[in-house]
Amino acid sequence: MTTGEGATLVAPRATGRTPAEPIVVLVGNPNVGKTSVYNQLTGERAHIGNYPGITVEQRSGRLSLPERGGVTVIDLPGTYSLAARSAEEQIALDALLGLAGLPHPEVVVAVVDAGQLSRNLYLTLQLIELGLNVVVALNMLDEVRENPPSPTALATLLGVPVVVTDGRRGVGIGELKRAIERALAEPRRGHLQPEYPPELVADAERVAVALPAAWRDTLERDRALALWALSSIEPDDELAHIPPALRERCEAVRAEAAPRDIDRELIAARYALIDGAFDKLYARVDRHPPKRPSSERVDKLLLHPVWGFAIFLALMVVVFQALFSWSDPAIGLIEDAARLVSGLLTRALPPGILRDLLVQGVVGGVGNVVVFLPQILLLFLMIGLLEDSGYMARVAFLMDRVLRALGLHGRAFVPMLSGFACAVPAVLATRTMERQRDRLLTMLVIPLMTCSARLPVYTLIIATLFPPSQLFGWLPVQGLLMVAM
Amino acid sequence: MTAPEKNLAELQVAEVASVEHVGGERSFRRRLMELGLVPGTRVELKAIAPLGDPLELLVRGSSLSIRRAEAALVRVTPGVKAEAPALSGSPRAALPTASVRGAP
Repeated sequence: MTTGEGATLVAPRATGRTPAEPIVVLVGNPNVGKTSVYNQLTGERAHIGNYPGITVEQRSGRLSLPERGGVTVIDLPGTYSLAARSAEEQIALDALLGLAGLPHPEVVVAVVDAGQLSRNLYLTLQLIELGLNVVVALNMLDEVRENPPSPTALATLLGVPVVVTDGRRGVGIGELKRAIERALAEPRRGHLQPEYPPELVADAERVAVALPAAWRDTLERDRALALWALSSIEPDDELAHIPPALRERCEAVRAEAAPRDIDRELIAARYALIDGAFDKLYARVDRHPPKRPSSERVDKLLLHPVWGFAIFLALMVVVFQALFSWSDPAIGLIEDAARLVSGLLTRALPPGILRDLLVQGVVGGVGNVVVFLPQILLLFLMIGLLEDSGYMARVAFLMDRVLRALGLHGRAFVPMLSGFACAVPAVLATRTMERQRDRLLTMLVIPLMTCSARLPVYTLIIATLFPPSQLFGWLPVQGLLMVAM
Repeated sequence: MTAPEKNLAELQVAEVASVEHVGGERSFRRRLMELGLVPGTRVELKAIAPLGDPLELLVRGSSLSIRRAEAALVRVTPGVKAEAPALSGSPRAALPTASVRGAP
């Protein structure tokens, strides 16, 4: 992919939006429940252009506010930072600031996981530094039983409204809508600023004057953008639409700063601010918010050297057994229906080109494709379940070593599993991987997976060559062979 | 007081250390530091995947998975274990025996 295409690929689709309709953007780290907050806000259940577990595209939906009326909500892909290396990562910044021809958002909702506040506030801090009109949705606070952070203290610290939400149960969504409405009526800028070393501030000022005119705004925002450019631009990045003058200035400033480490100065100053605020946010600071003890015990089992793999294998047997046998009744129904329709047509029409076209072409052709549907749907259901239960993350942890033997990333497991359904969405799903090398390798391996269109062929071969029999009296040999494939 | 420097991959499970320096390519260093591994940060090796790779770290109350080869690029000073009450990441401290303060 060339860098120029990346930016247009994920441009938000206008879903019947009138030009005057304000835009609200949702940002947050990956896996903080942002998607469920989005679904609750827009009342949308369907995942648009989105395969299970992977937000690859920007999605937009509509939210109706009691006074303001219709608002467009854009859901950005999860990210830990606005600093970018690729055009895909750059989209977050472009969408937040309305750069590169994207519409300018009025309100930014930062979805924050209360259990991982430190890492989440890093991103929130960047939003506030850019002077955006931020509303914080403090999510999953109820899961932090011990020593939870204080929402009011967080609001005081950041200088922006904080709403406690629970996206899965829909708690606090009404509050969040009201907070968005208030933020639309009277925009507010947070007041939090990290204390950057004076050398870094001087560097940022030199870069700020090289920013393109269309990017410039207030002094604070220019400085924040300059810091973004300093930490993102490098000779071999894959960023789009960076003016050569800005690129040259960044490289010159970095080169002159040589013995200093600009990235470290920048990141350390932000974390120093977050760390320093913890005594205001928590009743006790010696303990960071703990991980849920129950999930820790489950992890012990799921990641056990023996049981972990046994469970993984058993689950895969169940998944493929299900694909094989549970989809059978549905496949039978579709085949019966196709036969019925073609039988009716054969009787109703006189022999000729039209009958052949309808019976063998339309009914036969469509029937042959639709027959795969039950298996694809079941597979996506399974992947969705595995992903939402958090098991997929464990599998990536478990299998990384194995996949790496093939030169792949642990994350390649999800696309590869999707590859069993169809190689096309699987290749699309590789876009969540960070490095182009990982993406390309996974894309090249996926076509080698047994996709569902090939399954019937294998099924036929297995059914012909191996009689239906049971291993150890209960394991069907045919299903087992499919697992081996 | 402090042991000599090691890299992250050389820690034992449940061992706590302080980050000294993150090495490697620029984009890798930036990413790791943005995830919280800035010099001076307390880090605990929480678990090692069954096949010996990747490693799971506890950084600033969040978990972070990292490959052994990447962890080897992070220089750390192993910390003294008894200096403070263990952070929540160690399984013993997270058991339900720990008192729950404040309303859930």
